[in-house]
Amino acid sequence: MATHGTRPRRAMTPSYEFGSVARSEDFPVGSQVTSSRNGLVEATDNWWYSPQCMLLFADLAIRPYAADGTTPPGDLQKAVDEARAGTIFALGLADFVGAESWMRLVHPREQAPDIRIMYVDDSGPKGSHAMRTLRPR
Amino acid sequence: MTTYTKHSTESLSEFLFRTKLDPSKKAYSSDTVIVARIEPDSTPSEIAAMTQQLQDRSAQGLCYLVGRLDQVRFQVVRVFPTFGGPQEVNFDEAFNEPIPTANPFLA
Repeated sequence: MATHGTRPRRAMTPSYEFGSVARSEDFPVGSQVTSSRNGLVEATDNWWYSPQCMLLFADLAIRPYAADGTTPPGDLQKAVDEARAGTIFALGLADFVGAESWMRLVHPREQAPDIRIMYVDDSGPKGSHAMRTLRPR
Repeated sequence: MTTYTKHSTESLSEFLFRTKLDPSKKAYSSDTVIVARIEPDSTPSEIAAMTQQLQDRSAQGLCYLVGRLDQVRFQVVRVFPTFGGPQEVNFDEAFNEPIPTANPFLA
């Protein structure tokens, strides 16, 4: 299964620093991500989407209100605005590392964070490919 | 995720410190990133100065700002622990490429 698109790969160390790249405690490609509070992996835990899909979902969520000329409820508008902001961050991360990023909205039962974002690091041998997160140095 | 609105009365650095980066009130895991959506107009120099203000207050965490340049262009900058960027994001360019659909977690 292909894990990267047609975006040209860029060096992992650009001229300015956008963020550091985690090298440990990451998730190997194909692994389950356990994020439920009780440690169980549930079906929704693997519903990861590309940022572009997330933008389309956000537009679909408020399209009925735009069609009616009405204002979306405050909670919905806030959720859409923050999902879009998370998507912009994910797209920036993808450009920075020159790889795809993937994201998942976190259910309130998991409390935090609001969104999980990872990128595909396939720069090394196939066995070392992994989904990685951004971490402070 | 957090939003600094046009109606906020405190400065952006005070807002971020109070709501997300005060180590006496908040504790996040090492891979948690604070992403703030900024509605008011801000200059690059104002944002760069904010990094120093947050460092002076001994803030803790990893924080990025997302701002809008026009209808399709946005910028992402890191403001803490150090200033970094900006990284520009263009929605039109994002949709010019094929949208990835394969979920790498199911590879």
